Amino acid sequence: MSSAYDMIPVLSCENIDKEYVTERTWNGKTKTIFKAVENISLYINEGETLGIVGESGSGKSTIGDILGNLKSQTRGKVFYRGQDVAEMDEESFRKYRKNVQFIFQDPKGSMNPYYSVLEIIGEPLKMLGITDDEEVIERKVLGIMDKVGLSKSVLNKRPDSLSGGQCQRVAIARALVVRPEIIICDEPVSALDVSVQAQILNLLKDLQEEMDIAYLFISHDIGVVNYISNRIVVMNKGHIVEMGRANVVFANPKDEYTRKLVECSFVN
Amino acid sequence: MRKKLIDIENLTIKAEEKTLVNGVTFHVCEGEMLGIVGESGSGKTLTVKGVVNLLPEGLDIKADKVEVFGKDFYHMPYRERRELVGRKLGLVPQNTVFYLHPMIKIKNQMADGYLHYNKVTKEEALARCEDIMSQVGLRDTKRVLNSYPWQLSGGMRQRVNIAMAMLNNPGLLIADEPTTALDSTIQKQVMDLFQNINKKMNTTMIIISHDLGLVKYYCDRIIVMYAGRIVEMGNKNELFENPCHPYTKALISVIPSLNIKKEERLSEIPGYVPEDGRDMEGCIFRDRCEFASEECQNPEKKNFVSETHYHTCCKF
Ligand SMILES: Nc1ncnc2c1ncn2[C@@H]1O[C@H](COP(=O)(O)OP(=O)(O)O)[C@@H](O)[C@H]1O
Ligand SMILES: Nc1ncnc2c1ncn2[C@@H]1O[C@H](COP(=O)(O)OP(=O)(O)O)[C@@H](O)[C@H]1O
Ligand SMILES: [Mg+2]
Ligand SMILES: [Mg+2]
Repeated sequence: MSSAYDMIPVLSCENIDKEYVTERTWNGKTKTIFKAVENISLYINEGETLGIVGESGSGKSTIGDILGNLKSQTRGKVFYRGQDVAEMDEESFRKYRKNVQFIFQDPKGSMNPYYSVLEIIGEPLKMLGITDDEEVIERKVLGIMDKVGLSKSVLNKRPDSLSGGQCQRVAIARALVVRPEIIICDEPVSALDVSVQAQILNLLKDLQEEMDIAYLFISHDIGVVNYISNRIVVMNKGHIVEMGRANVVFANPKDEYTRKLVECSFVN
Repeated sequence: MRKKLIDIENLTIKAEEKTLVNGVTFHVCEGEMLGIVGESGSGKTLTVKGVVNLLPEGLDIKADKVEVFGKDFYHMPYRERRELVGRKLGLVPQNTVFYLHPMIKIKNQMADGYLHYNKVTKEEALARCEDIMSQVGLRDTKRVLNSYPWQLSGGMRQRVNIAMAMLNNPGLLIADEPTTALDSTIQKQVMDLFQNINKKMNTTMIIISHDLGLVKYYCDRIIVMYAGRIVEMGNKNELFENPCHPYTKALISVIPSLNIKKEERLSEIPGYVPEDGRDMEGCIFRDRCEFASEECQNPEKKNFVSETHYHTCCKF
C-alpha cells in the first residue's frame, strides 16, 4: 500500500540546536547562552507514533515546539513532507500549519476561558481559513465531539466547568477537527488521573487506527511511552542518547541513561 | 506502639452544605511513611490541608480530634501554630505552577524562608540552598537560583519546591503528588532522598500520589481514598498482595506495565468520582462497581482483614 510519497516522513528535522539567552548586559549584548538542545535529528512516518522520553529539562518540549513552529531553532532544519519549513511558500506553509496540531499537558491553560466548547473546538477551522460558516462549524464540531467521547451537553459549557479528562478530550477534538496528519502530544496525560489516563490513551490509539494520524508523543513516563509508541527517542541533557523500536530499546537498553530510566521506573 | 505524630478522628470537610470529605479517621506514627492514593477529586489534598489547618477560605471542617505533634491544631494560638508550621512542617504543594512567585528570582524566594528561621548569613543560606538543590537532582544550581520560575521547566520548578520544603529539616513532611511531573530517574532520586531523610532523621512523611508502584515501593502503610472516604487501609504488603476493595483492585489494574502488549487495551474505570451525594448512606463506589447489588446500600462498616488492614466493601 505504500507509495513513494508515503516513504517521506510526515515531519522530520536535521541537526537542530536551540539556544536561549539567559542574561543580557545593559546594552543588549548577549551575556550568557544556554543550549537547551543540540544536534537533534529525527523523523515521524505517516500513521506511526514516535515517543520522546527523558527527564524534565532535557529538551523534549523544545523539540516539539520547534517541529510545530511554536519556537524557532537557532540552527538546523525542519521538514514537512520533505519540504524545508523555512523555505515554504504561503500555500505549503498553510498546509503544514493545518496538518501539524498540538495537545498539551495543561489543556485548560491553552484554552480561552471565555470561550465555549463549541468556540474552542471550532476556532482552528476559522483560523486556518477552512470555513466561516457557523452551521458547518457546528456540524463538524459535533461530529468530532462524538469521536472523542464528549457528550453534546457540554457544547456550550466553558472550560472551567469541565473535568480534567473532559478538557483533554476538548483539546484532542480541537486538534482533530482540521483533520491533521500529525499531532504533537506534549505530556498529554501527565496531569490526569491514572484512570482517566487509561481512557485517553485508549482513545488516542483508537483515533490513530481510524484516522491514520501520526503522533509525536512526549512524556516522562516510560510505561506510557512504551505502551503508545512504535519507536522511541530517549533524551538526556539536550541530546538524543538512544533511538529505536520501543520494545527493543526498553528490553535491551544500550545507553547508560536509558538503562537507568528503565531500572528506576516502578512500573513492572 | 510508636508515638502518634498525627491523630485524626472523624474529619469531615464541607463547602456549605456539600460534603467533600466524609468522616476520615487515621493516624501517622512518628518516623512512618504513609501513602495516600486515589483518583483526583477524592479529597486527598483537602484531607491533608485540613490536618494542618491550611484549608482554603469558605470550607468548614469538623472533627472529633485533630492532633499534630501531640497538640490540638485547631485550638492553638495563631502565632504558636505558625511557628510550628514554619519550623517543623515541610509542605510540597500539589500545584507548583502557582506556588512560586513569578516575578521573584528563585534564590530570593528560597533563601528568605531559610533566613527567617535560622541565624545565618545570606551566603550561608545560599550555600544551603545549593546543597539541597543538588540533592534533589537539580544540576546547574547557580543558573537555577538566578532564574525566574517561568524560565524553568515544570519538573525543575517542582524540584525547587521540594528543595524549599526540606530547607529547614522539618520533622513532618507532607508531599502532595511530589514527583508527578518528574521522569523516573529524578523521581527515584527524589523518593530515595525522602526515604533517606525518613530513615536517618526519623522524619515522618505523608506522600500523596497516584502512582501505586511508587507508593508500594516506598511507603510503610497506605490509605486508599475514594469520593471523600477511606475505602481501604493497610500495610503495604497487605494492601498489594491482598487488595480487597474493588476500587483498590481497579486502581492497580489501570496502570500500563512495561510488558503490556501493544494490542491490549488498558482497563478503564468507567465514569467519574462523584461530586455530590458524598454523605449518602452505603458504599460510595457502588455506581461504578461491577460487583454492586442491593446490599451495597446498607451502612458501611470497616471489615478487618487483620489488625492493621481493613476495607469498607460488603462483598469481600
Ligand atoms: N524561555 C526560556 N529561557 C531560558 N531557558 C529556557 C526557556 N525555555 C526553556 N528553557 C530551558 O531549556 C531546557 C529544556 O526545556 P524543555 O524543552 O521545556 O524541557 P522538557 O520539556 O524536557 O522538560 C530547560 O533547561 C529549560 O530551563
Ligand atoms: N475550595 C473549594 N471549594 C469547594 N470545593 C472544593 C474546594 N477545593 C476542592 N474542592 C472539591 O473537593 C473535592 C476534593 O478535592 P481534593 O482534595 O483537591 O481532591 P484530590 O486531592 O484527591 O484530587 C473535589 O471534588 C473538589 O472539587
Ligand atoms: Mg516539557
Ligand atoms: Mg490533590
